[in-house]
Amino acid sequence: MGPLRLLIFGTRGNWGRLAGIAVGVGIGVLLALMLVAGANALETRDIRASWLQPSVSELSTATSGDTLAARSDDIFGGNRIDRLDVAVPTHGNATIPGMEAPAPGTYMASPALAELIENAPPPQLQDRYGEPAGTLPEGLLASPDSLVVVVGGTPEEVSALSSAGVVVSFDPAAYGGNQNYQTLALVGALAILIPAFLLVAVSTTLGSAARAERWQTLRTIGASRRFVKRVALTEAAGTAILGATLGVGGFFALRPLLALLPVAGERLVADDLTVSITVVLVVAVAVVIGAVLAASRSVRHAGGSATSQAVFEQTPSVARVIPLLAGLGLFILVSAFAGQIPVPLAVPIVASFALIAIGLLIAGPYFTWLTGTWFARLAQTGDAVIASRRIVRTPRAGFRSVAGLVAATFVITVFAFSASAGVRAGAYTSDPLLPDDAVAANIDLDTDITAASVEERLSQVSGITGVYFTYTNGEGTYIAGDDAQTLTDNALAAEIGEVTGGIYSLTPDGPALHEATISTLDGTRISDIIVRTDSRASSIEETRTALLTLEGVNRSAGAWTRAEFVADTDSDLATQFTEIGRLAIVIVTLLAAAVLAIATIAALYDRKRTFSLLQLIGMHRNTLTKIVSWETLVPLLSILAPTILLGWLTAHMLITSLSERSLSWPDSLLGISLAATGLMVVVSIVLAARVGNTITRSSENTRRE
Amino acid sequence: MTDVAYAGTPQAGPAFITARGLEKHHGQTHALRGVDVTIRQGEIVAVMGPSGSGKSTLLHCLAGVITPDTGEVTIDETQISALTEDQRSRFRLTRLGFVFQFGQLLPELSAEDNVALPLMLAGTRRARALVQAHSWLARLGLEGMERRLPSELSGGQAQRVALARGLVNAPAVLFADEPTGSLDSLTAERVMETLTEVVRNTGTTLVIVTHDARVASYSDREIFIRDGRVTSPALEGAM
Repeated sequence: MGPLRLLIFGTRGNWGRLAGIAVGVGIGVLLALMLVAGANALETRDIRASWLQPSVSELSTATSGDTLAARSDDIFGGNRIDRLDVAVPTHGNATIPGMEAPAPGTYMASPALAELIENAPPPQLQDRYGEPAGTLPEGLLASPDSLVVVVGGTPEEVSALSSAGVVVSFDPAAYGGNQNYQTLALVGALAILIPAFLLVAVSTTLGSAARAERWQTLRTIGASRRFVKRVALTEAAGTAILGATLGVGGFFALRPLLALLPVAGERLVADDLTVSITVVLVVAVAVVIGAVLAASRSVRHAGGSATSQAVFEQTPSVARVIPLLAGLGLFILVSAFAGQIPVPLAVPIVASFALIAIGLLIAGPYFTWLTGTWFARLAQTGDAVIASRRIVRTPRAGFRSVAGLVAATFVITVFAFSASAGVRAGAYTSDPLLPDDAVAANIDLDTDITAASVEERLSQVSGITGVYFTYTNGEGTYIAGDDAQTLTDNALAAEIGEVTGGIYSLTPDGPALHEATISTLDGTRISDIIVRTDSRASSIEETRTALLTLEGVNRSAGAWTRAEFVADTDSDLATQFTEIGRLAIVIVTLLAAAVLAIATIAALYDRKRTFSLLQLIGMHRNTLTKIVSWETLVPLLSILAPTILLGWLTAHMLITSLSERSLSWPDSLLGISLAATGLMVVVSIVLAARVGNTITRSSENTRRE
Repeated sequence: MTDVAYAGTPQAGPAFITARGLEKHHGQTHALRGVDVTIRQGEIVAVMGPSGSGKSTLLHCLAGVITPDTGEVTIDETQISALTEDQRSRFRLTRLGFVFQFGQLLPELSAEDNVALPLMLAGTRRARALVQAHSWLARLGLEGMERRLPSELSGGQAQRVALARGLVNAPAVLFADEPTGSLDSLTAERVMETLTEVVRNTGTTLVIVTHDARVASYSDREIFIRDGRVTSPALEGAM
C-alpha cells in the first residue's frame, strides 16, 4: 500500500468518515436526479394525456365534417373521472390520435375505470355512458390510475352540452406549458434542492477538524504542501465520485418505487422518469468539483502547529442580510406590478423565492452571532457558557447545524399557508342548502323541464328521501321557504335567518336567505335540483346517474355532493401546489433532520478532545445534552421568527401573484409539520448527545505521547 | 530531594488513596496486572514508566475516570470503584482536580471562564465562580490576563491557567498527566515549582504521571510501573 492509499484508507475512523461523506453526497445527488426525473415524468404524462383537453373553437362555426367534443368532470365513489363526449364524423377533420372514436351510444374507458364499471351495478355508473366499445390504450393515459371515459354521441347530443366546441386539434400540448404550473413546480423543486445541497455541503465537512489536524501533522513531519494537497484532493474527489455513483445507482434502483408516488392523485409511469446523460454528468461533475474546491480550501488553511485547535471565524457582517432584503424587495415589486411586468412572471417569482430561501441561509450566521452575543452576556451555567462562547466564536459553524431546519421551516410555512388558499376556496363548503346526504345538479339555461318530469324519473331510484328545486327568473334565484327549512339541517342552519314559508331569495355572498320580492314561483324556471338520499353510497351514485342522464341537466357542470365540491378543488392548480408542498414538506423535514444530525455529530467529533476533557473533570452526561441543545436552539431561534414571517409573506405574494385567491390561516398542516420538525430536533439532539457521550468517552483524546 | 519508595508504600501517616489488586484490559492489551498503591494525604507522588506501561490507565482508575476490571480504589474513605458513573462524575468534579499535557483549555473560553468551568459545571453561577477564578489566576501570577483566550497565552501561561482550573474547586487530590509535556525545560521547571508550592501550601495530594525524571524529582516518592505492574526502583535503575 503506497503512502497515498495508506493515508486515505489506513484507519478505520477515516473509513467511517469517508463512508459518511459518500452517503451524504449520494442522498443529495439522488434527490437532485429524482426531482429532474419527476419534472420530466410530469411533463411527459401531461403531454400524453393532453388530447383530453383538445383545442376547440366556437360551436357556431361547426360544419358537418367537424369533430365536436365536450369535456366534463364526473365522479364515482369519490374518484374524479375525466369525461370527453365526442361526435366524430366518418371522415372527420380531427381524430383522437391512437384510437378509433366510439360510436354514438357507446363508450371507451381507461383500464382503471373499466374495472370500476365492471364491479359496480350498471345504474350506479355504466348507465351514464352507454354500451362499452373497448378500453383506452395505456399510451393515451397519464397514469395507470387514470379514470378516463370517452363517450360517443351524435353531433346534436354533443353540441347540446354547455362545454362543447369544434375540435381544432387533439395534438399534444403539455399542461406544463401553463406558466403558473411551471412556476409552482420550479418553486417546489427549489424548495427541495436547497436542503439537498445543504446535506451535500454538510456531509463534506464531516471530520473537518480531524482532517485539518491530519494535514497539519503531515506538514509538521515534512510532507510538502503539494503532497498534502494531492492526498486531500484524491480523498475528496474519490469520495465525491463514490457518492455521486451511489446517488445515480440509487436513483435507477429506486425509480420503480418513485413511480408509485401519487402526484395529483395518480401514480407516475416508471418509464416516464427519465434523466438525460447530460443531466447525470452535470450533477455528478458539479458535486465532484464542489468537493475538490472545498478540500483545496481546507489544505490552504493547513500549515500551523498541530496543537493549535482554535479556529475562530471572522465576525459576520450585516451585509449578509442584503440577499434576503433583495429577494424580499423583488417579491414586493412582483406582487405590486404583477400585470405590468414585461418578462414572464415565473422568472421574478422563482428568482425572489430563491433569493429569500438562500438569503435566509446567508443571513443565518449574522443572526446567530447577534443572538449568541446577547446569550453570552446572560449565560451563567457551565453548559450555557460553553455553548454561547462557541456560538459567538464560530457562528457559521453554529448555524450550519440548523441551516436545514431553517430551510425546512421556511418551506413548511410557505407551503402550509399556500395550501390554506387552496382548501378554503371551495365555496360550496358554506352553502346552507346542500345537506351532506344530497346530490345537486344545475339545469341548462335553455331547457324548460318540469318538477313533475324530474320527480317521475327519480322515482325509479331507490334511497331518495326528497327532491327539491331552486328557481330563477333571470334576475334572482329563489327557493320555497318550506324547502329551505327542510334542506338546512346542517351546522349553518342558524345563520340563514328565520324562514317561515313563502319565497326566499338566495344571495351569492353568504348563507343568509332574504324574503323574496316575488310572491309566487309562477313565471320562473328550475335552476337547480337538490336530491336528498339515505346517505348510502349506492343511493348517491344511482341518483347521480339519474341526474346526469336526465334531459335538461347541465351535464358539463356535473352532479355533486357537498363533500365532492370540496374535493374537486383537488383538480385546482392551487391544490396541485398543495400536493407539491406536502411532498416538499416531508422531504425537506427529513433532510433537515439528516443535516442537523450529521452537522451536530460532525461538530462533536471535531471537539471530541474538548468534551473528553470535560467528561474527565467530571462533567455530567446531561451537560453534553444541554450544550448540544443550546447550540441547536440558539441559532435556530435567532432566525425562526424572520423565517416564519418571510414564509408567510412569500406564500401571500406567491398566491396573490398567481391567482385570485387570498391567504387564510392554515389548517393543521402547519402545526403538524412544525411539530414533526420539532420532534425531529429533539430526537436529533438526544441522538447526537448519545453519540457525543460515546465518542468522547475515550480518555485517549486528552493526551498525545 | 526525592525519597524513593518501593511498590507504592507510603512513608508514614494514614492512607488517603488506596488501590488494591487493580486489573484492566483494553481489548487484548492487559494494561494493569494486579496493581496495589497507597498514597497518604498531602503527599506528592510521581507515577513513572515508559510509554504504554499503564501509568495513564492507573491514573484514570485512581481518579474514577474508568473502572478497573477487578480490584478497588478508595479515596478519603469513599470507595469510588463502587460508585455509579454519575456519582463518579460528581466526585471528580467536587473532590478531584486535573491537569493535562497540553493544558487542554477550551479554545473558545477566556482564561477566567476556563478556570471557573469546574465550579460552573458543579452548579455555581458564573458570577460567583469568577470571583474564585480571579483569585486563583492572581495567585498564579496571571493577573490582567483574565479575559485572554488560550490562543493569546504562552505555553507556560496556558499551563498555569490549567493549573488554576485544577485547583479552583479546592480538590483533595490533584491528578496531573504529563503536565509539562508540551513545555520547554525552563518553563517546565517554573510550572513544576509553582505546582508543588501550591499543593504543599494547600495540603492537596498530588499524583503526577510522567516519564521525565526532572519532573519526578519534585515528588516525595516515585512509583514505577512497567507492563502493567508496579516494579522496584532498583530494577528500573538497572533497566
